[in-house]
Amino acid sequence: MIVSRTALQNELRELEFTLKDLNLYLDTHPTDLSALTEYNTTSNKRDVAKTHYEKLYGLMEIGSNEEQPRWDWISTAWPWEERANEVDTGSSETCRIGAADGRTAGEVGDMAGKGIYAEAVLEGVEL
Amino acid sequence: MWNYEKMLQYPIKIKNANPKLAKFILTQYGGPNGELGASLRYLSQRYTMPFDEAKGVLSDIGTEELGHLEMVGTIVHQLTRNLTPEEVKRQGFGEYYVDHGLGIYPQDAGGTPWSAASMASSGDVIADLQEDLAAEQKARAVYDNILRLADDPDVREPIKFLREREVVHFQRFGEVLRKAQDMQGKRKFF
Repeated sequence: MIVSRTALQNELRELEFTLKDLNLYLDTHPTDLSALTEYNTTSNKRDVAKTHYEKLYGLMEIGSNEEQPRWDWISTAWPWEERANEVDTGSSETCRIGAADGRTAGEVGDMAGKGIYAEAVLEGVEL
Repeated sequence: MWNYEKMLQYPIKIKNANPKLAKFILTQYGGPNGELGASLRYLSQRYTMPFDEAKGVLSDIGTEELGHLEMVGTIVHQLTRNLTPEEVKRQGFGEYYVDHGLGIYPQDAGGTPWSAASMASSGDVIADLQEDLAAEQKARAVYDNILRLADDPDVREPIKFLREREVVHFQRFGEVLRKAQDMQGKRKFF
């Protein structure tokens, strides 16, 4: 069971990123059942992770189910503060954002939409 | 309505201040191709979209852009924290500092404040979607330029993430545009 705040937050981030990406994909592919299944699975995992996080570290969002013993919404780290974005020592320096199988942001983004639009750009500039 | 989640879409923790770089990156907060304009463009255009996919994509990408606005604001904030007056002067940040201190203000890299003239909302599905495709490419190009100017990996990683999202949004807008064109081909009225 993950307990470090950073690790929990990154787990939640990864799930929410996957959800967001599936959200956009499903907007233009509303009948893709395998994407819909992935959305539903991810959504359930995200609810579990969010509840777990909020139980230990306070509200992530106003109106969550977690009962608040005191009002710490204002005192927990704000997103732009460095303390809100600690990096776990020993793990990769960058958030492994993407799907649970370790696909990168770009790979997840392109998971089913290998259309003419993205390809032209991805070949783009050397960085 | 919107709910606020107290977390960045991608983590940002910048160890070293760099006000010169902050001034470049500020253009993605309030410049002509930045995230403020992107969110307002999509969230304004969606009212006249004639079919569901378009309403969904504009609402959901517009919402994600608000999260990106928060990320860019965070990068600029962390690059300019705890500056001494000497550092402000030495690093070319004086012109900004004298008007805004270390506050985050929507302007481009040259100091021009954000303007609604940098976006369109035409009420026409084809015109708006073509503008959106161009907007994503222009934003991607600006992130490319930033990546050429930024060495700090703490800055480059979130910028690369933002750049990647522009490409994904371009993909989704392209799919919506194709749908709009198919519907026009069927002489379906908007």
